[in-house]
Amino acid sequence: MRREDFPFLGFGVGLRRPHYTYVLENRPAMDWFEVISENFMVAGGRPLEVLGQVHERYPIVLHGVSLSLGSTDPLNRDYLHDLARLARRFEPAWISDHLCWTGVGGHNLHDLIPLPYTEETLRHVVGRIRQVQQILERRILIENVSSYMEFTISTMSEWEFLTAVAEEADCGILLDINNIYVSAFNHRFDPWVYIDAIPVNRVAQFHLAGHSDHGTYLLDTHDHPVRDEVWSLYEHAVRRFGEISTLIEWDDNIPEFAELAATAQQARRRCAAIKECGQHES
Amino acid sequence: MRADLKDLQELLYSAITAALGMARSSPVTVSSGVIRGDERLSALQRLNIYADAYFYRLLDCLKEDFPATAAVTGDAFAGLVRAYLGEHSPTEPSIFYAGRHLADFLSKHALQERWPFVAELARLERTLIEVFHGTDAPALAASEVRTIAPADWPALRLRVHPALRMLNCDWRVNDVLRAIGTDWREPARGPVALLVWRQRTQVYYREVEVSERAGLEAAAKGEDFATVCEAVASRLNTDDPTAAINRMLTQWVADGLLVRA
Repeated sequence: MRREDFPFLGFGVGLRRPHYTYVLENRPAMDWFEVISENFMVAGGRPLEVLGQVHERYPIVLHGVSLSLGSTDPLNRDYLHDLARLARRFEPAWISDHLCWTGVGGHNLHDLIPLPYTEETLRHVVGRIRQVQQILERRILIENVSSYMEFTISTMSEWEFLTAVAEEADCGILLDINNIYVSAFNHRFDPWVYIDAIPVNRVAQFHLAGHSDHGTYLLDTHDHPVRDEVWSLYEHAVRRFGEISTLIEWDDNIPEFAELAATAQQARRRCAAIKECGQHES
Repeated sequence: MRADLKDLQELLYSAITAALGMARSSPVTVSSGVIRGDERLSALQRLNIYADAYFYRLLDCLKEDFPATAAVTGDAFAGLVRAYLGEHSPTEPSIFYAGRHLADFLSKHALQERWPFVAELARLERTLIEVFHGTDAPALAASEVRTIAPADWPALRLRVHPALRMLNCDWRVNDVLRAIGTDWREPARGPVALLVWRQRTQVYYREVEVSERAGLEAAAKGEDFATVCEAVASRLNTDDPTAAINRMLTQWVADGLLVRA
């Protein structure tokens, strides 16, 4: 994988509807924005006009939630062609989606359901990512999801599976630090081991977000500030992977834009402090 | 083995949606052999996290898309959504499509007996969303209209905005929609014709007279301007149809209902 396919964009936030007007009217300082691809796969109207104006001023990245890379349904060609058309129009720095499945039998659960980590699943997913990359004529990033269930038939860890998929499909990794933390709590693995196992040359983006603590499990709700434990894990990831484009996600109980921007600034400061100390491994 | 993965996904789909009455197998059976549980969370509890997320994500989405329908039906809305998803589970990549059959579903639902206007209200709300995301087209400007030579008008074919929609309702559901958030009351019986359109990125709706509806429908069919005028004039009760048609056309242009041919 060529790192120049995924240049360092800096520290950005997910662009969500409550902030459209603020961003267009105030043009706040922000390195880049990530948008949910499906929200813009429409015929016309305000979403596309907003994205057009944002694209004029900021780098953007298309982040999908319905590619369903792990589904056993055939790849949705119409969806892929719509995504390719969106990419031609708005020239995202890259396109990403999740290492999961979202539906089967023509149904869509609108959720990111984990896969069993087996050799057969690996072959299935790798083949589909290769097809997607061929249709989109670019490498994509795949993101690790938060999960609440593991399967008895799994024969490898999530980090082994993620690594194998990225290596064999020759795609990049969007490492969601909060998702690692949430899944580590839910499945009792060591999140630091996870991060240390991911190949440095494959990681092109980080996600940071908040989660909810339900006592017996953590839920990836994107409705809280980033927790201290996740910040610590992020710093560990920065030491391992170096300066990587970082994005703050916030999807529910969305605060004022200033709070999102401040969180992106916090990521920048933490990253800079590590850089100053010369603690990057890469 | 791919067949195994397919079986697993079908089993999980069935179990996750089981609470909506679509299960082909018991969630307990599914979870016990397939999902790892521990002393903190059983396999079934883990599965139920996904089942709850599925329902509540779609409930939130439909509440947002149908705020007036949700306000009218109150506590019954969640049950309505549960029944609706049992028949119309989402199939499209975008959650935007999740509510596209709700109005039709409501028209045959028991809630329609209690609130006989509610299906039409849901249809109006769905139309607002579809117009919001509808195809873009550059509106015909008043300055462009002025450049059309008088001799060219009769054969001129107007084009209406591709996102424009007309609704014929038996109830004045537009009155309910306007009153939501304050003190809505059961609407008067219609009939009423509603025009829903978008000007740039803003969606509007208003009531139209039968003459205006006939004119817009003729224009939408691609009829020439002379035919549009006849459609309007035949339904006008006035001695001066020309003045009325002029006012109507001026309003259509001002509202961005017409686009360049």
